[in-house]
Amino acid sequence: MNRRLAVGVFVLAAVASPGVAPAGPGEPAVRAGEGAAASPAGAPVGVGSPAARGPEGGAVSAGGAEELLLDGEAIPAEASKPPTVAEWLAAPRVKFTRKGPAAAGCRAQMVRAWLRVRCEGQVFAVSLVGGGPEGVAFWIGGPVDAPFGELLTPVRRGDRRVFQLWAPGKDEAGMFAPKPMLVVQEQWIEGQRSPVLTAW
Amino acid sequence: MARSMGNLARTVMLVGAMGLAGAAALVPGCGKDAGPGDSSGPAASTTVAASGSAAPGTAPAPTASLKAATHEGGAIARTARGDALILADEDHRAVRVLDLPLGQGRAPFEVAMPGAPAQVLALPDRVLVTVREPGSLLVMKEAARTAGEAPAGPEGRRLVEVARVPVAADAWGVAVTPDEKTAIVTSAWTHTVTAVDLDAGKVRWTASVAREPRGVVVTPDGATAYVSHLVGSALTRIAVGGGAVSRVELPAAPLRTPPGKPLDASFGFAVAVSEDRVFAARHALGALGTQAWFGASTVDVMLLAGEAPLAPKHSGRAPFVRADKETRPDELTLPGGALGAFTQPRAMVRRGKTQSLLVAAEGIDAIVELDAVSIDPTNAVMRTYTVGSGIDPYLGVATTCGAPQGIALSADEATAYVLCRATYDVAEVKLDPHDGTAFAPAVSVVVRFADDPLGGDAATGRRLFYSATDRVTSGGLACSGCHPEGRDDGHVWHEARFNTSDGTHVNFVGMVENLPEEERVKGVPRRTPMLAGRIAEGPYGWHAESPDLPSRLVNGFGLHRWGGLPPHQQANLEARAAFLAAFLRRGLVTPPQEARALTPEEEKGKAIFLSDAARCAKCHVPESDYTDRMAYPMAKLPVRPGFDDEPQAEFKTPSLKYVAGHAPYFHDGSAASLEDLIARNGNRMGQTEHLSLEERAALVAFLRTL
Repeated sequence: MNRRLAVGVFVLAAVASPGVAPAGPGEPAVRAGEGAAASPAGAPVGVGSPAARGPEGGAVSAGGAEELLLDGEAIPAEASKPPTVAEWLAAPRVKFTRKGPAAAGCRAQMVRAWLRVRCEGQVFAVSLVGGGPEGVAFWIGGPVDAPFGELLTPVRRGDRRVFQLWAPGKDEAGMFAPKPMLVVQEQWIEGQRSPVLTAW
Repeated sequence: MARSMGNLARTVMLVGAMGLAGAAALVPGCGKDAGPGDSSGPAASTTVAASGSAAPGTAPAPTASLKAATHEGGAIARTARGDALILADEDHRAVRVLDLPLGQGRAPFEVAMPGAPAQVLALPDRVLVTVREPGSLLVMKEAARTAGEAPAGPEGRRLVEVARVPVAADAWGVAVTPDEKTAIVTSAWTHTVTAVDLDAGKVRWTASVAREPRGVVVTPDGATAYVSHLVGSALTRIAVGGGAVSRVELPAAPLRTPPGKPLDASFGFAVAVSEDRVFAARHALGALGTQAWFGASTVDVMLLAGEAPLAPKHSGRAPFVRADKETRPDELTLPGGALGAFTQPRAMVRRGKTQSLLVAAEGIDAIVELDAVSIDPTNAVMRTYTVGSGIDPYLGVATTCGAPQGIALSADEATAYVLCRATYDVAEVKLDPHDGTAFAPAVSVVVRFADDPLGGDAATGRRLFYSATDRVTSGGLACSGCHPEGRDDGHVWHEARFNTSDGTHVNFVGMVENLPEEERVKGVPRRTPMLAGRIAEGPYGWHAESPDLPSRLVNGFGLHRWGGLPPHQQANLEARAAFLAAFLRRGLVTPPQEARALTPEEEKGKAIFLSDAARCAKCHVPESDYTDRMAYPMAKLPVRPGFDDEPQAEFKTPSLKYVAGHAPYFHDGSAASLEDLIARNGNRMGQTEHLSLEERAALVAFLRTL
């Protein structure tokens, strides 16, 4: 099964502020092979265009996809609705500012002022440990052979959000016990050009 | 070991080419102090050559510009030239110099100090040393031999003390301004910070601050110093120009904090600074987490702009969970594991090249590298470098490189040099370049620079005192974690009996929120007692329930953890207690006390203390450390909010030795100060209700001298 298709099909739940619905139920599922729809602005923004990628420019992920640098100049200040599935399908991948081995299976995308982080693997739970909940949403799902957990968050100046992903595990007695899997941190400090995204 | 230190300009051995200034700069104020990268200064930029001896009667040869490795002191420092390490060997009252590279077979040189050195800081032209008692900042420089003088060391050079600046007793931390003209010194026990004009060798100002100031940094603009404290979560901000002091709130582990209840903090030895933020490493007492009985270790970040904490508060929002398994949702709202990635963060340095922090985790014999970019570095562990080795199969403690307490970086930041306090080693650790290349962490070289001065059981006890790895002795936090240097963390714990997965036990927890909600207990309040200078004779325990020190320690092994002791043999418990008791009796250093005559007010207070009317001395017997070691039924104190009622009325008379320095008071910590204690005492202990305000002040003044 095409993994992108899973975005629309395997959404299990979402926690979002009232009136802000993530892409998911209610959004048309995107079938494999469909073309990506452009964003209202004509193209996904919030990432460095080739001309504005900064000194490092883009980077190529382990999977071969090009990852662009997060560029604050390209992130619109005005609020917008969460991206549609079509927008996500068209969205470029962005580079984590810093990430460790635990985040090797994670990828991030930006559309306008929205960030989506998807991490492959068995995810038991996702928490917003700290930071504003407005617009934040989570998904856990994926096909049996390619499960994933996912978080969606707006990205704005002044942001400080910390997310914890939990994996299923066992304690010393062999009983089920969630294990810390990954901490994703998103910040955009006033005065800094661009947001910072880390995953360890 | 030590030669007489009576002569100010003592001759000591010095490793070659330390990068210190020559004889031309021996006199304070002579010559110019070069800033980093400044090659134009006539005196400060001169030094000896990298190898070989300076010719007798000649100043060391000039070198190219040098830059200090850091502007913050530590237990270990690298010279600006990168050819030697300088160690503050507190237990041997010596500074030691080790040649770099390590492992070349050359013995370290020893430089006797007038007292225990706490930190060293190597500038291009001089070495600064804080000496705890007599409180002082020593300025040392390299000098050439005079003609005909015998070489002082293999390299034929000598290190001379060119200035000794008296500062408040218990001098500990040191940092210098970016221009290297002013040193800021913290004095722990005397809760004082002093600015020293390094050119003039004189004190510029002295400021009184909160309890136990330790780590200190100066901002890149040189305008502000921030000080961390062993007790409490707030930092102290000091204007470098004039010494104006203010308090800066920096919540401990906000992501692990219950709503509306800021956490207490302790163990704030280490602080670091970058261009835009300050990092404070400490324990967040009561921080939430699975089985987080004491709380969790943390590195908290404050933005310099606005002095705002970087981390948001714990959201407390329900997690998004796959609903096919039973779990405690509240635990899923917290980051990371139980007690944090490290315990007892005794030192911290910033690795600029990788934008990371290296934390010396005293309790787990490791250096933990954290991402300095993340909001919460504690939950962004980049690498853990285990430095301890040779684990004792019976005691579970490292026999090599135990209790890391200092870190110095090589010039290229590819190597860390780690000073290990429990075993007197320096370990060389190759650091992960974090450039995507394969990397296997390893300690490449270990140099033992001295033997334990105590030896025998006490030396073993020292290793146990610092170690959190032995699961029998502690539940993930060493004795030193709550009793750093044998002092106290100022915290009031909850001692509670509650059920865990391995039965019902009495444990200490940091906050009532650490207790299982379904147990419906809050625990009784117990403030951490100070150990140094107060454990000469038993019985021990708040109720005098332990007849001797080893039995008290065995009791403590069970209290300071989550749940019960792991499987063990009683003989092993007793052996551990015997080792620890030997160390506690011989190895803990008492705080400094000023030898002076009492002031008239203190004399008056003494007379009140000894009087039949006040009756203080009836129980606090001066001849036996101001205690009669007896337990008496006492009138109950009001139940403290958040705690259970006290079931037992008898409390042992505590020693009043060093009472000034370990607030809060009473077993429940309900008196914030001695003034508060006397004001609230009435006739509960002795008779103080009749005292006038002036007499109470006099009594407090006397108590402060004990």
